[in-house]
Amino acid sequence: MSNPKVIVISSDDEKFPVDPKVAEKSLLMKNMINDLNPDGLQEDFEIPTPNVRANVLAKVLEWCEHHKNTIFPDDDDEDAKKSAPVEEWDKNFLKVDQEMLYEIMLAANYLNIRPLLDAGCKMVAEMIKGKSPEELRRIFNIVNDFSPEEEAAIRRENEWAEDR
Amino acid sequence: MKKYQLIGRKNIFVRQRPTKEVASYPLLHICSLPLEIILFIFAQFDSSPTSSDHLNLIHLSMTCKKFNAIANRHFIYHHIAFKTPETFYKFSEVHLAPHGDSNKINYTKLLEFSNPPIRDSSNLKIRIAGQYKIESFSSTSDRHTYNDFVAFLTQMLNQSYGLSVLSFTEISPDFEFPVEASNGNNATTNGSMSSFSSMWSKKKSQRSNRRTLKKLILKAQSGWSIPFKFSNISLILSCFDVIEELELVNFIIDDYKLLTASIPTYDTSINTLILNSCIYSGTFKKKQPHRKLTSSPLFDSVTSLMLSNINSGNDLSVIDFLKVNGKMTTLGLDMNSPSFYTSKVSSTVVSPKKTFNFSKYNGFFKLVCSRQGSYSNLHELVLTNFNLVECFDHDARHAAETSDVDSWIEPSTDTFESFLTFIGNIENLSIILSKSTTSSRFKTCVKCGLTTTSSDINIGALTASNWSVLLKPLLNANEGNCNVKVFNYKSEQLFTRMKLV
Repeated sequence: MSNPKVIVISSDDEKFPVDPKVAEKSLLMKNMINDLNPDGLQEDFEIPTPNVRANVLAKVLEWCEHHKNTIFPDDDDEDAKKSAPVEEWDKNFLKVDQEMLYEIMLAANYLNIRPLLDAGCKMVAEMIKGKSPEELRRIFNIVNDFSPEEEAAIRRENEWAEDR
Repeated sequence: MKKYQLIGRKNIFVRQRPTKEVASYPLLHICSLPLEIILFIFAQFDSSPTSSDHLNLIHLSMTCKKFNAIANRHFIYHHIAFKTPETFYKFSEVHLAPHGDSNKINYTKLLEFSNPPIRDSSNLKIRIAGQYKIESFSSTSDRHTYNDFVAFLTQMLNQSYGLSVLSFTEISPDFEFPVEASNGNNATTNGSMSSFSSMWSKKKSQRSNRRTLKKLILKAQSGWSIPFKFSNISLILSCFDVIEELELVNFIIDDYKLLTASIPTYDTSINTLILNSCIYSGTFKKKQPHRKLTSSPLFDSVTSLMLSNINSGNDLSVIDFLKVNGKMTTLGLDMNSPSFYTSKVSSTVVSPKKTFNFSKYNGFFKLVCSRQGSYSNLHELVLTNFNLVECFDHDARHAAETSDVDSWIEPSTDTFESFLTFIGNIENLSIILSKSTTSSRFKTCVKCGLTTTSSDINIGALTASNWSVLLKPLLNANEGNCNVKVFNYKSEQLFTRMKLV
């Protein structure tokens, strides 16, 4: 008999059979597998992910497959994680439209895949870097909900910080 | 009917009517992401004062109300660092009442002042070695004076209720806060300062709630060691009732100067004192040989003393100065301090090997942990940054156990084994391993049961029985009446042994 698989089921009931090693990139799935199969996987094991659509889940599992042998920096070492640049493969993988990027980040957050979430956050941060408030509003389609007086007050409040 | 009053500045609860409709966004929009993810994104920008990344945060805060609130609360105003007094004055004029009208200081948890101004900083010259004069640059702007700095800082401390860490760095030897005029010590005759003093004494009596500052850090100018004096912290003492930790970096603790200076009576207590790279100048006994060493009012309430980066064995005498208050129960020592090591130069190895100087310091540890005499109050020893595994010599231990020496020869006490026996006499012992101890090589030994590896393994993988072998003399000392805890550098507990009842 072939090795048992983990069947990840999307919110729209699409099934994705993957190796346990791939599924275990998600801490949520890893804990489920270990808690419900204390003696190891004997047969195929289904995990529903009611918050993740099929096309997003396919992307997330593609990332897990690619990184199944990657050892990521320690979770506690925030500084090391922050300073580490996004890998070239991840950069290309995350070159998607904004909505898809947010959906991948939401899925990574839900499935507890911290390195994928970090990569997503870094991609968004790259889009923010060096942009003026007006440019940011345009790029991210943010509505300016300040009145002119409020905007002036905020500028005055932040003056000290701009040249600190 | 009971009335409840919310603590804080009243103007923070006044909400202005929104002048624009709050925008609503689709589900997959940056503004619709959960707060935790938005915080992760914002956290990619380094908000520290040395980074230029904070401009990105400011620009984000100016895009919309939601981002404004998040960036202000969690980043821009969370940790404020003023590199120059001018920036602080600019900040004060906008954010501190009565000039400004802002609630942002309520978000501040960490406040840092670099190079705080000194009184009459223009025209000040410092002599080095009695020969060279260095100009101390005037650090006040044309419009503002040192008194303004003190007044603004007092306001800031009294208004920022969330503040937990306050730090002054690059402190010059002449830096000091005013001391109350009534004491006549260092007080100015300046009118504004007198009014400041009277305002100062009123402040504490007006407060109904006790205020605690978690940590106060004072760092001397790089490359200098400067004498610590009451006026370095007098203003902070007037604003807080409890300072949980006071950390002094590169200061000189002169017992004579601290005991002979007139210090006003304060009811502020300092619980933990951390001395980092500090020099102890114990001149009191030399200058006043007939007087008994007493406790300084400043350190009267100190219960824990932590010594870090100890450069000389003489600096350990600060323990004697502190423990005369009769309240010191905890002592922490940085075991990676240069003072504890000797360098052995070998003809084959280029860099000298550092070895712990047990022959010099075992006597000290024996005394400190004896729980006798003036050390009877000391219940806890915390050894930080300790490369315990490097000191352990497995073969030497077996050799000592099996050696056939004449019984009339006293066994040497200059060893790691004796060190463990001595520290095992204290009631509570915590060992925090250094980062370099994360992985080490252990010898497989059938005899003692230390069953590990021929290659480096993670220290966290050691079993309780491995630790029992490693710490055998310590665990057996004083009939096992020592609570022992071992942590890794991340403060994760690796081993614990509670004393036998």
